[in-house]
Amino acid sequence: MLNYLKPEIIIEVICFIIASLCLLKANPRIWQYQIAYLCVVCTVELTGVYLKRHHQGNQWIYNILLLFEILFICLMFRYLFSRYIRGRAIIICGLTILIILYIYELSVHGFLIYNNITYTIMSVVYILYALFYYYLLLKDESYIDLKFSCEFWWVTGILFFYFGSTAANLFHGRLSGIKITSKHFLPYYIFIVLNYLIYGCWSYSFICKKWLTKTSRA
Amino acid sequence: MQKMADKDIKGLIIITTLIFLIAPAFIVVYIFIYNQRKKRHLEEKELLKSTFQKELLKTQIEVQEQTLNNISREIHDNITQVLSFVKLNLGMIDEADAGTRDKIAESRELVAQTINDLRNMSKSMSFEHIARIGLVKTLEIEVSRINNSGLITAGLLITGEPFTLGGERELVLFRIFQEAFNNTLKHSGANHLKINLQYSEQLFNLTLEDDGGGFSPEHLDMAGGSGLKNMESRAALIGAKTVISSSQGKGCCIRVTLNPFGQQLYIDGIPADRYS
Repeated sequence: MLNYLKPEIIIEVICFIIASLCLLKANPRIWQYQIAYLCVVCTVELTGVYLKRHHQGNQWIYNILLLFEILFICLMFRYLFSRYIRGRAIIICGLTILIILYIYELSVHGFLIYNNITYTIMSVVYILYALFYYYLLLKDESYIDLKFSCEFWWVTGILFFYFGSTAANLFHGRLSGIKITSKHFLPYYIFIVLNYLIYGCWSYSFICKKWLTKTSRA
Repeated sequence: MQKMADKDIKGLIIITTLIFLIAPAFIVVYIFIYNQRKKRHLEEKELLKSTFQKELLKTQIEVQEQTLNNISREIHDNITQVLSFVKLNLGMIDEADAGTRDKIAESRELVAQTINDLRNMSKSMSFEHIARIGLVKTLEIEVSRINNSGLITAGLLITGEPFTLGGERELVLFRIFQEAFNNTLKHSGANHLKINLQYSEQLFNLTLEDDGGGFSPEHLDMAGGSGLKNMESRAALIGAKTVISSSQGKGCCIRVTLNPFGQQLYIDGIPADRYS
């Protein structure tokens, strides 16, 4: 079992535990879906490690995770935008592009190979969503103490992760040539850092959601 | 040569990746700074709004005091003088039968009573009069007037050694008393009104307690724009706090608490000059 506890999985499991403790009764319901999403993430990661150790291809399982990632994060952004604008059209637009791309890629290379282009485009879409959320946040007349805003830290996690991973994905071929240790190459460490950033931000966001959220209207 | 170019490209890619990793941090820092500015801006806006409202209230009260002062002078200098003259004239009528003489005597008494009432009213309106004789004396006169009217029984209790709170503050406290007394008369159906002035080094309390019908706390919230709010606003103007407590069938208690040595008088912190 200990063999499965890789650094990137440890932080995911910790985040899942924190989410379970903090969001079980959270409102609106979208926050409760976060627990289910993290459960899927942990399951996929552990299954991925298991398949790799048994010398089987594991990219297909990450394709399943990608679908959950597209649906859940879009849904969350829809909730976040709804506090400021009617953002349904923006979300449906992004969601349609990603789903079409996902199906197209599957039809091109099949289910067993990872949908890399969909992932890269998804990262760009989420970066744009995150920046748009910041724009709405700053434009809004009410003041929110960002230090304790669960929504803000959730989006910040997204921005850090997808901004970083876009570069790591685009230059994956070149970066994979840089060996850091005898076992691993540079992208591996970049993704560990990104994982710690997103799940760290998310864990703090869940804590804020449970105990610290404070909003003052001017 | 090819190896060198590869190395350069690799370095460039690593730098670009690092920039991509660090860029979000800059964005987040910018958001925090902007948000802090927004907070400051909102605070300033709130402060301006509250300053404006207090200035408005101060002006309203000044205008009201000026008007009351003018009416008070008019009553004292004109109407009571004319009535005195009428009373004198009535006294000079000799040629009359017994019935007419009785009517004249009765009329003289009524005119005398009217003159007296008008003088009292004039005094309670006049800022100068209240400032001259002080809050305690003004309230004593007012309580005696209330008891003479027979509308309600009022009692004044003074604890501690009275000292002056300053003309403006005493005037505001007296106006609060008048507002509360009016409310008691109009709405409470009370038989007794207890007025307590408590003087100590740390604080001054003006408490008005009646045994009327009272009202529920919900009514207190709903009546935000009425006399109760007026009292609170007036009290806030001199840095005093007002606590109004009441419940259905259990009377009403209004307590105004003030730090006697606090210098707060109006928003700019400078005691206002006389209202004349």
